[in-house]
Amino acid sequence: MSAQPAPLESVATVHPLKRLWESGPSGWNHALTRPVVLIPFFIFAALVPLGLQYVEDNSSWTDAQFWTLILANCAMYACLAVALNLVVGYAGLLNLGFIAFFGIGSYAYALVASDQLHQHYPLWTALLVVMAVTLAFALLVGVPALRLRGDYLAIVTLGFGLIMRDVILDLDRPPVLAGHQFGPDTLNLTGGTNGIHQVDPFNLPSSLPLIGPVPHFRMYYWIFIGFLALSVYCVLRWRNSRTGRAWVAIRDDELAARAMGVNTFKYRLLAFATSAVMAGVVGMIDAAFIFNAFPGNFDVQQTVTIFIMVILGGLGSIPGAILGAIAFTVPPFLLQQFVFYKYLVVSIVLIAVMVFRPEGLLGTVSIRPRKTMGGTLELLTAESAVEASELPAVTDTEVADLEAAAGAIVEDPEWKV
Amino acid sequence: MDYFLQNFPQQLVNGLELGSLYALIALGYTLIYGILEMLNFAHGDVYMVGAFLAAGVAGLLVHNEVAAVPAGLAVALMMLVAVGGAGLLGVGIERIAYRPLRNANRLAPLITAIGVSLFLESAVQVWVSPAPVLVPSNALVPQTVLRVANVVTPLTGLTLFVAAVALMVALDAFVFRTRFGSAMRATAQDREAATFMGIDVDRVILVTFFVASALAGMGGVLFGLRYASVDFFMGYLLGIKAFTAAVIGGIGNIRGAMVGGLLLGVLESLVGGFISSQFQDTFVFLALITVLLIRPQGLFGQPLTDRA
Amino acid sequence: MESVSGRKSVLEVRGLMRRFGGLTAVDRFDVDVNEGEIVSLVGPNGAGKTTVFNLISGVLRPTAGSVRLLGRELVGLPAHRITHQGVARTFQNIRVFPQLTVRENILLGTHHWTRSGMLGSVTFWPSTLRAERAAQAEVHTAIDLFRERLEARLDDPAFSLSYANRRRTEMARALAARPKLLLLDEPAAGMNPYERIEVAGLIRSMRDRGLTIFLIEHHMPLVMEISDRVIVMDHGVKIAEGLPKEVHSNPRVVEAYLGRRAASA
Repeated sequence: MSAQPAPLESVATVHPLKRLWESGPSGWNHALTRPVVLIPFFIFAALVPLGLQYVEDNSSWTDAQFWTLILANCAMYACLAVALNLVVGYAGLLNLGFIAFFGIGSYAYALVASDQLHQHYPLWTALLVVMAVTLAFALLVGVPALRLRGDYLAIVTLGFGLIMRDVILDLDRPPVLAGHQFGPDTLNLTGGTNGIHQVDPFNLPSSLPLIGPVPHFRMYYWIFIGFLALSVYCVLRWRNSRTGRAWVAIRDDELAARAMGVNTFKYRLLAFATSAVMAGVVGMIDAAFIFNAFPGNFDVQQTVTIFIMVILGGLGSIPGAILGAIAFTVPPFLLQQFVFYKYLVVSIVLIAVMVFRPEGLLGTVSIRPRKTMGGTLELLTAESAVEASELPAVTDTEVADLEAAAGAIVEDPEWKV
Repeated sequence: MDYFLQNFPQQLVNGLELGSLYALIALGYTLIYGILEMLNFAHGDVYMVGAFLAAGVAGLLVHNEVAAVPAGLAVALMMLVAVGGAGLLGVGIERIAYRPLRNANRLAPLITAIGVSLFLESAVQVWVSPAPVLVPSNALVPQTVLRVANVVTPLTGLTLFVAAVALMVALDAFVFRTRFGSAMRATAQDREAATFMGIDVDRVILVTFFVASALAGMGGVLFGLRYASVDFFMGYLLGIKAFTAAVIGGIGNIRGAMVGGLLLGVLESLVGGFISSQFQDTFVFLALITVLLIRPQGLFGQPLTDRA
Repeated sequence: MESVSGRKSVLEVRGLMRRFGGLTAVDRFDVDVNEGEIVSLVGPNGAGKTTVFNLISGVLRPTAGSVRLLGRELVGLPAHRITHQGVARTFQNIRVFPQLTVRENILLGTHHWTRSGMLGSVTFWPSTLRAERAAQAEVHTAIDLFRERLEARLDDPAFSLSYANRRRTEMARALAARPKLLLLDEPAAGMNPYERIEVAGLIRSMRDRGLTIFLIEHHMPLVMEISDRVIVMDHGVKIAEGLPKEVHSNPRVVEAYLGRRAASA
């Protein structure tokens, strides 16, 4: 009895949106990160302040600047979330000292663009300095720490973040080691608890052709959005390259990755350093934006906040990171009277997400508990049912042919002792 | 050199006192790591909550520098509430935040743990006090300062040390000489096999968390009595240092935690006294990195197997 | 034991030993595998076969002994360098990367011989583009042997694949590494008779393409069918070696398996 396998449902009969829904998080991410979605998104984002201005000019509404400020903050956190997603979501490294690199970037820029050290570097030089300094710190921490197992790496980076904060707070006077003072009494590198003030903004035109005068907030919103676009572009290109594949392989199965020739240490270091430098550049833009570098830039609560952005949005997902950033910057701004409770809410949401839906909204990393050894819940979905029936039904004559062709392998002879 | 010799004994004594606090918290880290192979980042904050519970009780019982009840009773109550409260908190955290993720990717409970840590800190900051809270230890414990040769130490400091040692000895006896203790050790070695032996693993984990957190709570009380002030951030840095101590001694090893704690306390005190008090914490961090790179199993740990 | 004279030695293992505390998992194991041979390693469960593979591929460090690939000493090299020297392997319990697509899994195989860095990827640097294209072409060469089984699934994430397809993906990935020596750990495990025929054919095709194959397998008929030589291990020690027929009737081998049937998966 021969039976033709039933033809697979033709694509035309399934609505494309339904198909998209069924493809799950990896499908949604794939759809949301296509240029045809991203380019309009960024164009729209760039136009928003102009839209707000238009509304303000033509009505009694006066909050355009306030909202631009919120959006600038949001864009900044989105950049940080994308950078954290790179190191945690793609490479699987728990960098709990992440925000320290943001802080390092902001202070590095502040030192070369303010009266603190009487240096006033132009933009691109300062950028190089910031990237170099951040990279140096990333290597300093990364080279020893990345050989360690995941949980140890986490606590070492946590310690690093804490130490950096203390060092920044203590460097408003010359360091004293074993009774020897290093530097003159007037040495004040970091301004201690006050931070560094009167940091130079970037030397940019204050008005653009076609657009006209560009107020400060709007300019920096555009800079953040621009950097976000650049980051997203780079991260996507990396994900679809040899580097990104290596990262995901290391995250999924480090042993197998090594067996396939991936130098796991090198790639971990690449992810760690890249995400750190990205955070440093964001720090630089922030320092120029608010004309200050504060020790609060190093607060661990910030790291946890960015973590929740990435986790809620979904580990491994760039659109998720951006969504997460929006979720945790806009509401706190709007609910100013509750800002006191911000970290309380952040921590509760983090715990809740981890307990109930660790993959977040759009996450592609399965950190959910495994129900079966070697299998994930996905194996139980409908797709696999189709998989199992892919072997064509075999007729009797075909079996006979197979037997003749393959000899003894079809039937197992008793292993005669 | 003279300066060194003159001040060394004092720094040593300070270090032992500091180290005994580290040891108490480190014991908790090492217990939980031994059982679950998980670094409980929130542990330092459990210590902080214990300290606040004690401070709260003290605040209730002491008015205008005078205790409403006999001082000894007050202190006992503080301890009871702090130890019990911290223990229950630890158990609650395990139940709500860690148990659902027990079989997940090992990074998952760590992420949750930092969430718990932030939650505890924020909760105390928002609902109790963002500013340090004073503990009226004058009214509760004698403020005598002991003096031997040129070395001074307050009685409360010595108490801290003695209590820590006593608790460690008790814990040691519990883990190595009781039936439940051997159930704990079995679960730590191989959780699955322990279930096959009829051990109620959930209960073992529960008790472990309770004991670890109770120890932290006790540390909180003793700290409060010694330094007369608690704040919501006190557990954070201490937690990292206590973890360092546990690693130095060999994470998972109880005696190691004690030795590691004392050793770290002494080293930190010496560095702080003779090299730089500014960079004390940096030194601790460097110590952590060094141990992890050179001898990750610590002083008393088993050599880790070849990377597989 | 007959070695075919004139054939180049690909793998030369001498005195390989691995101790775990008091247990000697592999005890002074020797083997020679020559170019184009298919050598099978068999033995009861727990004999130490996978440990031998782990030692050769660098997952574990030997307590003693030497492993030479085309004359080059492998012991002491990290696993990823050993792969670069020309050793690729599959695993007993299939280790594909679940979150990568089939295509990406196979591309991972090309990792060690392509040069394509981060800067090149974002700037569309010509040499990077060329390397990517070469790697993509290799994917097609690698799945060529599977008669289009994987073609339809190339862009599906590996976790959604059936057992058989995951095994094929793992094999294609190993092939994409262009190895000189292929270590297959129980390639026919979990397969039905038709799939086993396919596996036998695959192994032969791979040999015909110039690969040297060292495999662990439990399914005796398959082993007899395709091996040039068979090595038998028990309790960490080699107890027999030779042509399939010779080993089949070796009394020591029979004794090792006494009471056990060659399990068919």
